[in-house]
Amino acid sequence: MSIIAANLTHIYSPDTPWTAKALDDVSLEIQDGEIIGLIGHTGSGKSTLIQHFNGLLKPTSGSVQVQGFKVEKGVNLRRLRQKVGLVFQYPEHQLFEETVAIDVAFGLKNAGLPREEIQERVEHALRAVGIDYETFKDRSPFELSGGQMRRVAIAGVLAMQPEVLILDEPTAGLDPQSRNDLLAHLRRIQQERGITLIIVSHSMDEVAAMVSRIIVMDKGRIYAQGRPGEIFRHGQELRQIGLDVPPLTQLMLALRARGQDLPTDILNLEEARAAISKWRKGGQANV
Amino acid sequence: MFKGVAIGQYYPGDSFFHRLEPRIKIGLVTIYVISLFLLDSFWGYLIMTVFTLTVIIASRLPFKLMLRGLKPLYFILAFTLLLHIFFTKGGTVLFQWKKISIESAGIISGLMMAWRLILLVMTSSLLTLTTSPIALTDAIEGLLSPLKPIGVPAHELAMMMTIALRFIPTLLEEAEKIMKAQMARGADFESGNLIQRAKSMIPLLVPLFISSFRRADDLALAMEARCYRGGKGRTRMKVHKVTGKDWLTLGGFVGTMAVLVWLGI
Repeated sequence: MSIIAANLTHIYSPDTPWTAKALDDVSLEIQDGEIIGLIGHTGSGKSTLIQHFNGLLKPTSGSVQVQGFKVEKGVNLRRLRQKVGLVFQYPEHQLFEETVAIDVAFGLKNAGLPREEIQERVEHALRAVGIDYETFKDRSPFELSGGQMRRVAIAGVLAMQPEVLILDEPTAGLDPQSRNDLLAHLRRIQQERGITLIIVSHSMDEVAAMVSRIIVMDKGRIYAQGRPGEIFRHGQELRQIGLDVPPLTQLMLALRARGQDLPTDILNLEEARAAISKWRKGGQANV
Repeated sequence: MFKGVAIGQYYPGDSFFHRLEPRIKIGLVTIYVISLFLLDSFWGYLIMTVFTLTVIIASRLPFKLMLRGLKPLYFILAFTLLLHIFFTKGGTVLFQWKKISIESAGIISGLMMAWRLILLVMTSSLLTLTTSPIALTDAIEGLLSPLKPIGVPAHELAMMMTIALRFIPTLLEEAEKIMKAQMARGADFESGNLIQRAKSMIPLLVPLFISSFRRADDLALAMEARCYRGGKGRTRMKVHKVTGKDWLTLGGFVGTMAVLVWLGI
């Protein structure tokens, strides 16, 4: 079992005028090798939740267990953070070294690895996100394009070879091309290494095709969870908590609303095409 | 780590002190500070303390917040107290060990000094707590503008202050975010000796500088795009007017302080 949270509650700045309950009695289990889409509106508690998974935050009450570590006071943070890689929103803002290679090696140096291994891991991590090591290693990270910077920053976390990789809005602010590239790289990394992957997003569309389970959060609680198809069936309710279902699901829902019999757990274009042509054949037969 | 920094923190409210004209408020606090240095007795400080407490209670400011504002002062307070205890001589000798002695005058003047510092900081923080940053900088601009003819850039100074105040929370938030991101990569900000700690700040400071410059650039562009050209001919959305009530408050306070100083309390 990769992650177990039980009755997890987190309160920011308790006993002050700014106190806020960000997580309210959250319980969940994530298995090894799962790909999870963590979806929620801004302020739904998803960022707070993932910060518990590598010990940046500690539970106010309840418990979190990650890769056998119980997240509480006195936990070995160094070892925990090597197992759980957390990529924050706009990770390119955390780049600071003179060259791409040194920046990616930052975490490894902190972990005190030998030099040869550092170089090998840096090379491997950069390749995994589609950045050519030889071309880029001596360049300043600040002269790269936005998409490249983002990938270099993600490589910095990948190089730690985490068993759980968490990304907070990894595609925010990227153009469609870089977005698809990045998601494809992530999917491949997950398959090759068999890691647990958690992608935080406010867009269903983006994660629907690649995740095995969606967890929907609202107001610090888990609102719903299940396979993407199951979740999308409840398009109407999702809209009420400020989330949108993918355009294809919207189409299916709209057609259903007009009394047509169509499935609503569609995930991609092929499925949609098949469903619509089946429905049209059926429709013509009725005429 | 950065929580509880009270500089420039505005605590919204609608009390008498909140509503006072900001220039008058600055005047009041200035006079308070001057009087605090002129008055030099237990009774004088007691009266000043009553003034401060009255304003805190009347403004409905949580007392916890005020105490938290004193936190950065703890070290200075302890230092002042110890300095006076060991080096101010006079009164009865309470403790003697070789050349070191503690005498009653030292303890008294140490406590008085600490008391004065606490009042000073609490009352000045009252100004920023009850005045929105915009109103405050408007007031500073207003107070400085008579000096414009001799080359004091009143508007520019006020604008710089507004921007600086506006970005304190943003920068703190940003710093916290970057710190967390680097901690997730195994950075350690909390242990090691002084030099190691200073070095460990680099992964925090470099990205912070870069983002500040980017922010400054964006802000300059946005201001220019809205035709900002400095203070000349600029009008305000909210004009602060000094009313009779404000003058009365100022006059009453100046009078009280003058009487206290004249009586030599």
